[in-house]
Amino acid sequence: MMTKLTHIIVTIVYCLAFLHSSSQVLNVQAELNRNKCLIGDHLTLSLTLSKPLHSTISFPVLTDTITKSIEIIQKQNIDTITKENQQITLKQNFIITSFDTGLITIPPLPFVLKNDSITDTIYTNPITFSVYALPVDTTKQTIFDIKPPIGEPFSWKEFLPYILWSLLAILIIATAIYVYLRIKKNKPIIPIPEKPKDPPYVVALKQLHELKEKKLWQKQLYKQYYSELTDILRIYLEEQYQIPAMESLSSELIEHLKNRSFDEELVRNMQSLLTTADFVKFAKATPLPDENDWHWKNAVAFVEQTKPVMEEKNSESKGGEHD
Amino acid sequence: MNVGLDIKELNEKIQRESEFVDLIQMEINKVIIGQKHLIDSLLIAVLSNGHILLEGVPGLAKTLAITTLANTIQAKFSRIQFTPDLLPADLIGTMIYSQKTENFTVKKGPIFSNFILADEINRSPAKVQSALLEAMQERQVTIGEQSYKLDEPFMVLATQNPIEQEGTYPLPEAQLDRFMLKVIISYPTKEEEQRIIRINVAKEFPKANAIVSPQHIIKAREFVKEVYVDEKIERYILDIVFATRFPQDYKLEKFKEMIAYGASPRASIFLTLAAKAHAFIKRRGYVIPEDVRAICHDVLRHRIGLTYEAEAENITTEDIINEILNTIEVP
Repeated sequence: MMTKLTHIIVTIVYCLAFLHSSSQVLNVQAELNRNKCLIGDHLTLSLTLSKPLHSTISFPVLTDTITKSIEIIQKQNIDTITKENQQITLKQNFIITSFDTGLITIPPLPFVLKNDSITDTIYTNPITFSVYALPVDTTKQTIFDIKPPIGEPFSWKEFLPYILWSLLAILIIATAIYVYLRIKKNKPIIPIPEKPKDPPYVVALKQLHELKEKKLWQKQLYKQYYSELTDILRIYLEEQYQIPAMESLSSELIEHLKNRSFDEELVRNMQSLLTTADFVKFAKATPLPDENDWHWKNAVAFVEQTKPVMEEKNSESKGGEHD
Repeated sequence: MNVGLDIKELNEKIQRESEFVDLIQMEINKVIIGQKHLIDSLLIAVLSNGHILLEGVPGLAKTLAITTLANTIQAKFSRIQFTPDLLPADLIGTMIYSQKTENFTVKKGPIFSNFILADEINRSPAKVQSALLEAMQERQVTIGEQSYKLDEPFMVLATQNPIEQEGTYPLPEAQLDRFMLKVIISYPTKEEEQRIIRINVAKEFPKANAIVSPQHIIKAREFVKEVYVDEKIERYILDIVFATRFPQDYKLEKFKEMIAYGASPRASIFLTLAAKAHAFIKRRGYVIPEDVRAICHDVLRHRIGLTYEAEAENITTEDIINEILNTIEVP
């Protein structure tokens, strides 16, 4: 059973020029369906306006709150209740609530009267209602921690785009670094596989035969002949035995050969070759034709007798297979 | 084998004219035990008209070596101890007023000798060092308004004390560049020092005899100039010097940040002259790469400036020169 908490606060009768009879009245009311509730519970506030039919009076403009403690949850449209004898009664309902405990007061709400020459405001009565909190027995009730956020289940689908973008970024960065390093080292960006190199002794023997065919000393180009002859041997020693021959003096080179325990005669012949080459290169010496040929033969003999034994066997066995 | 006709003749001439070198070395070896490198360097400098900067701890026969060399070639020798209060006039001489004649007369300083031992040159202030270095360059000094030519052969042997740094005035790089060679003297071997002990205990100091005259040395310098240097050797010398300036061009990028400045063109000139002199004392009429190698450290070690990075990493000029020689192809 609903208790009606009707309080008529103000009944003002204006004797206005535009009213045709003294029986026409203006009346405003504010009512609550209950005068107490639990915290957060809903209450219905009804605003009623009774006015002459042709008068212009506007309802209070309420948005989402009435006061700091009273929130409007739902606002209903203005409804016509009665309409008779040039008198009309209008009503608007609001669903309100409060999250503060204690005695809460709805303040007087303004209805604005507008006429050609007059503007005035009529207020409703203030209404008070009580808000109660749920009783908690702290002696029996234990305190609980705030519940953590609810975790979403892991999904690969959600992470897949991030993983793919990261992999793409890593790929692009790695490619950029690779290209930069290749360019910096003056190498082709896409490496071209090199042909397997011939063993140093094969190269040396080939170059020695090419040198002979050039017939340099026969053309009086002794300096070029001995420079090329010694260079072939120096490169051979460097690549085959890792002796820093190109940067060594003739005397140092002979010391290296002696330390490698090569055949004494080979070393002696090599020393003779290097000495002759130094004479030719630095003292414009002109060796005899026999001497030039003898040094060439010694150079070939040096390479032949110092080439690695294993490689020779391998090459022989390969040759046998072909036969 | 026929050595090119000109070179063959030159080689024979050099062999003939350089005979005295062996005799000088024999005489010096009578007095100096060990220090073969120092003696060779002295001969190279004398024969190629250069000056030597010596670095080594005291007591390594620096003074004895140059005195003995002076004796063997009948040259005058002066030893000047450089001190912080030494004045240029103490070195080159001054004008003295004679009350008797009522005239200024010239009093020549100790620099008027053939061989000068400028001991601890870095103990004197810059103005004295400049006076000496100017005399080394110009081969003459000016006292009052008169210029006086210095005696030939003229060679300065300056020593720097590497141990004490306090109260010294290190030579600026531009002045160091005027020394043809910077020779580092090391301690004698055990055997050599044993012989030194015996000689000193017995107080039987051998004396070097005069072998040649100063005029003979001046004549020998002309023969040294004639020693043949092939274009290949010249290119080898240039490669070495340029490697100190642009190491990155010789696969020595690691030294790019270590070298503040490379060797000057004087280095190329002195490398060639010293290599010729080395070939001469080896009694050869042409230069071979061994000659360049033999004098390379002495010519270059004071001409390469190191950066703080090099000092922080304990890289020395010796390391740089060694690496350059091990990298550049021998002709």
